[in-house]
Amino acid sequence: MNLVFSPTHCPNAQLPEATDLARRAGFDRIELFRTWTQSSPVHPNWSVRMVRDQLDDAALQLTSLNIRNVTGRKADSDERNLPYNLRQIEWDIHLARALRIKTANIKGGQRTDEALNDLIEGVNTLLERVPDFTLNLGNHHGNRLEGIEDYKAVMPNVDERARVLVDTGHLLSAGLDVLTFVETFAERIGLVHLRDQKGETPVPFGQGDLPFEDVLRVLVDVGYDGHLVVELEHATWDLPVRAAVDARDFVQSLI
Amino acid sequence: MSLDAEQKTFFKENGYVVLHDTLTEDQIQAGVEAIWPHLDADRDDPSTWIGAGPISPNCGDDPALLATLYDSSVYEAAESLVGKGKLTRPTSFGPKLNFPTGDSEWAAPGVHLDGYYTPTNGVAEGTVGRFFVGVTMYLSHQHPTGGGFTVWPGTHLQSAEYFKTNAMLSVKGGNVRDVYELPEPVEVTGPPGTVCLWHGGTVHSASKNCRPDIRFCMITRLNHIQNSDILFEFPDDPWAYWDGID
Repeated sequence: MNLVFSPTHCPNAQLPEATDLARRAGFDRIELFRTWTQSSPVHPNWSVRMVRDQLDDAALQLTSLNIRNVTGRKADSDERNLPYNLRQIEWDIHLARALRIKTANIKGGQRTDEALNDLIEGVNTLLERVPDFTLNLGNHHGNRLEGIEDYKAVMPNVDERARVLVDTGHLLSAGLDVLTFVETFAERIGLVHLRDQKGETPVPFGQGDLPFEDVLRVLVDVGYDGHLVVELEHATWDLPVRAAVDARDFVQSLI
Repeated sequence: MSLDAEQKTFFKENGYVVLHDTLTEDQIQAGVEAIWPHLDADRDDPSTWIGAGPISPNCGDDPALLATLYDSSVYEAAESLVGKGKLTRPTSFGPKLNFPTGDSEWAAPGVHLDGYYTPTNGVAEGTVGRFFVGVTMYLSHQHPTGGGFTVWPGTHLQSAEYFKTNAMLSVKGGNVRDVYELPEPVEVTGPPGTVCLWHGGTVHSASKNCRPDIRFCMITRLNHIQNSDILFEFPDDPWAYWDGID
């Protein structure tokens, strides 16, 4: 298992700052977000070739891109329009491909039956249109994919190239049992976002409610050899590099 | 009919090339007849043409209109820029009409690049519908100041340079008025069957129709068949994916 830096640790940092922080914290892999962080590869001041060059210069491997969600709706009007939504996401997927990766992370829409159907149809349509690409479906508190039952309704109905993205922070925020979730979908996990929390509040790794050892043991037992993304989201660390190093070392000591 | 070396050189330097006499008289007439039933105007009363509509009648899939693209030399000419079999084959050649305004002061105010989102144009927000070759064809005689398709020569090279160091999405709505150095525009004119092939990075605009006639025109955008693989690429050689251009 490989550890990956997440720019959620520095959402206001543009790409050079984020890559610098990742390197200084000892990471050689990084994940990016299309929205939410200033290190986004669609930042107006950054062309795709500049993003590639920056990552190369920093000797960082991009492991995945968090793209727009399959909501089934138009973002500018909230009208239900799955084809429109899929055009947006397919564009994001080609952005990911241009960044030399073959996987992206998505989430679902509202907690409605309509959004559930659109998520299943949308994921299958995208994977049919873009061969040789995988999608990691992430859980999110309050989202269409929040807990075990949501995934049980989706995963059997989507292509095998759709995998489970375990986001421990959002499971904790939703008050769900992380270990049971991981055990339930262990064979189909494509990516893990690690964030420790006390309730809904992120805390330094090892100080919260996340059962790191048990979760990692399950992953080892099923032969998971993917990435573990170290997320220090919504934290106000005085020393961001130190915090990232501590988190990385903490996880590294357990694997 | 492939473009000759001189035409390709002009395209390479200016980002567009104008062809004349591309259609037979029958093709022209069939095209016009296909469009008229969709217009909210009296064909025999030009006074009803002022400010009429619709601008984009939904009949681009009419065989008569598609024939002007595929049963003429036009598609082959476009193909000769990028390579045989390298361009998509749209199933619509959509009319883009320009009705008389009744004004007398010609202008081309809508300077833009195509493919960018606006709330009404069908492009998905946060995407860019990049393409390779635009095709604009007249079925009516297009006189100066008659609302002709207008291009800003050479701006395709500015696009190629600009997007090396800026995100494609950095140009809101495709408006580059404050981003590019714009030269004097050229309004494309000519008899029925006049065609303008233009580079997808060429800044262009419709213009104000200051004449009494309707501009009967169709536009389509031809994409590289490998577009999804090169959508975000702006190589140092701007003609890297144009097999027909040296």
